[in-house]
This record gives sequence, structure tokens and C-alpha cells, in this order.
Amino acid sequence: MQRTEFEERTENVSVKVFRYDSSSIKKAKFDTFIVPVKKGMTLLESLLYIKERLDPSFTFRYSCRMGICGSCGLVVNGKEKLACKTQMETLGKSIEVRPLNNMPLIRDLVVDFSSFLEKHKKVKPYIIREDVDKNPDREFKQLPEEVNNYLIFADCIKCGLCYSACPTNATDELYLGPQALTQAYRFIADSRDDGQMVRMNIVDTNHGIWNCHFAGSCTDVCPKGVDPAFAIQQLKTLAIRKSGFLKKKRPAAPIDKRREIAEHS
Amino acid sequence: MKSVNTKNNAGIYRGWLKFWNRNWERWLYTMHRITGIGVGLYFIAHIWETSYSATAFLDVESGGSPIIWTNLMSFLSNEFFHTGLLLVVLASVFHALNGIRLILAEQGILIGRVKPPSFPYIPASIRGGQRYLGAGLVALSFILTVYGFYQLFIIGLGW
Repeated sequence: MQRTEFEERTENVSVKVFRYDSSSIKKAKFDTFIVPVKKGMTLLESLLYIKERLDPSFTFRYSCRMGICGSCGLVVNGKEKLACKTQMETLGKSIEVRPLNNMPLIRDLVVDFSSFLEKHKKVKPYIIREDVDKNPDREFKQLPEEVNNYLIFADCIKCGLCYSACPTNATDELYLGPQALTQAYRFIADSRDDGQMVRMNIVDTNHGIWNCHFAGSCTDVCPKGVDPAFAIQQLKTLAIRKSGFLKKKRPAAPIDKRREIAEHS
Repeated sequence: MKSVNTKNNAGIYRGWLKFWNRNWERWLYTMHRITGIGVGLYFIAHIWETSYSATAFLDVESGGSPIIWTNLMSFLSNEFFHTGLLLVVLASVFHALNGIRLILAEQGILIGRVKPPSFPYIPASIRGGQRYLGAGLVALSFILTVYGFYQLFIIGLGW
């Protein structure tokens, strides 16, 4: 059978991966594997090649393979990336793959997201308003420009790349981190929300917005362009000026006239 | 056997100091840390050194002792210590100017505006005017250090 040009063009790349097993004598080490790389091959495919053909005990996390689920975040050559979105030909002949920083190791490239997700929950990442119970069937309408105020921040896939890249998280375990702070701003910037004061009390602390020193690495590594650095600076502006977030926004959800007429007729 | 950091915190080396493959703001961040610590240590040494010699100089009971002060000044007046002072000038100027950039950023100035998400997701904050301001303040720091060199070496040491 004649091979196509695409199939023939392979290049051997040395992939050095971090291994961790709490039950083995030598708990942490690096293993190096040679992976034949074809054009268009992603880092995730290389890791799957290692697992399927070279070492089945090799462990890592992945799911959607298309940059949506945020499961395959890793530190590749010292920088955080999603394995499924990273082309092998952009990484050179020798690659070092480590698990994400600032989260406890579980096994090999898998880390424990518990503290990361706890911090996410801590900033109350949902709409808070008092009139929901009074109007359970009302719509919360917004103008397109009001949606644009927070839409970029709503794209967060909770992959943890920003949390790993943040130099403050590197030395301060209590720091809320770029992801949680961004989600706080995402809801504060939402015209439907009235929980700004509650959230500002959580983030306006030493382990909150004031421990961010604008290194910008969170924004640099974000695969969805969420821009946590921008959101945190906006939170600081709100905290300094103590205005803007106090006089909010749209009143309670407007009454749907057409629906009311339909219901009463 | 080397113990494993199971908490996996990047720590000072990987978190603060390993910045060469990072973005420009991360370079400024690390330089801000290093210069801040450096100027802080210099400040402590400077206070100690000056208070020690000034106390001797102002000691009324012994009639004052300008010799200690003069000896100290002549000990410090050479290329080695003036090179150190030049580094202090560079660190101080950079730290102060970068501090202004950070204050502006905290006020939402020069970090761009929020935009709807669209591929290829170019973020506003690290493409905003603060990036150019950062480059400008690094250049200004070196220019002012050249002036410091003129004062310390040409005027001070008579080169």
C-alpha cells in the first residue's frame, strides 16, 4: 500500500514527563519517552501515545479534546497550556511536561482541584438579588451592551491555568486566585446582580484583590481570553472609589406585560 | 531521598524568579520584587551606617568627632561602593516608576476596555497602554541611571 506524504512525515520528539506515585519508594521522578510526531499532532495525542503504547500506568486527565472542558491543563516547558490545544510542532524537539502548580499532587500529571473550586464557591458565583422569590417567573432582561460587560469573564472553563501561573498563588495558599476573583467581578459586572457588597467584603482583603501585583501571567496563559488581570484591577478600582457598585443598576426584573395579559385573558 | 512537595506550590524559585518564558508584565513584576527587596536592604544598611557615624559626629560630650564621619566617607568613596550606589539608583528609579504604572492599573487606567469574546481572544489588559508605559519606564530608568553615573563617577570621583 502506498503511503501518503502526510503519513510519512514523522519526527521523533523527546517528551519528559513528571511522574508521581505516593505508594512507590521513589515518589517523584521524570520519565522520558520518544514520541513519533506527525504534522497536526497535539500534545494530548502525544500523551495518549505514551499511555497506549509505552507505559499504561502513565496518568493524566482529559475529556473533550477541543479546549472546552478545561481538564487537560499542564505546565509545558515552564508555561501553562491546554494539552488538547497545543500543537507539538510549536514545542521543539525536547519537551518537559509537569502537572499544574499550586494544587496538591494526586498522581503523575493529575492534581487535586478541591481548594481551587472551594475558592471559586467562596465568591458566590451566582446571581444574588432579593426580588427573585417575589417574582419567580420573571425574566431578567438585559441590553446587549450590559451582556458585553461580563460575557468575556463568563467564558471561564475552570481549567486552573491562571491559578498555576500566578506568582502570588505560588507563595500564598490562602490567596483566592485569579479565577475566583474574576468570577467575583463577572457577577458584580452583571446588571441583574445585587450581591456586590457581599462579594466585595470577600475579595477586598489581604488574601484577595490586594495580593495581586499585576504580573499578568493569568491573562497570558488563559486559553479563552478571559483576562483575569483586567477583572482584578477593576475590582481594585471599585474598592478604592467605593462607588459604582453602590448605586446599582437595573431595578427588579421588569414585568412582562404581554405575559400578564395572556395570563389574565 | 529528596522529599516531594506534594502541595506542589511553585514557591519563590518557580513562582517568582523563573520568569524568562513569561509575559512582559511578569518580567516587570519580578524586577519590581527584586528591586524592592534590594532597596529595602540598602535602606536598612544606610540608616544603620548614617546613624552610627552621625551619632559620633554629633556627640557633644566628646566635643564631636568629625573624624569618624570623614573616615567613613573616604572609605566609601571609591569605584566599588559607587557602583553599588549606581545599582541603588537604578533599582530605586525603576521601583518608583513601575509603582506609578501599578497605581494607574489599579485605577483602571491604561489596561484597555472590556470587549466581547472573539477568537483569537486577545486580552485587553496585557495589550493595553500600560505595556508601552512599562517599556518607557524601563528606558527612563536607564536614562536616569546614566545621570546617576555622571553624578557619582564624573562629579563624585573626578573621572
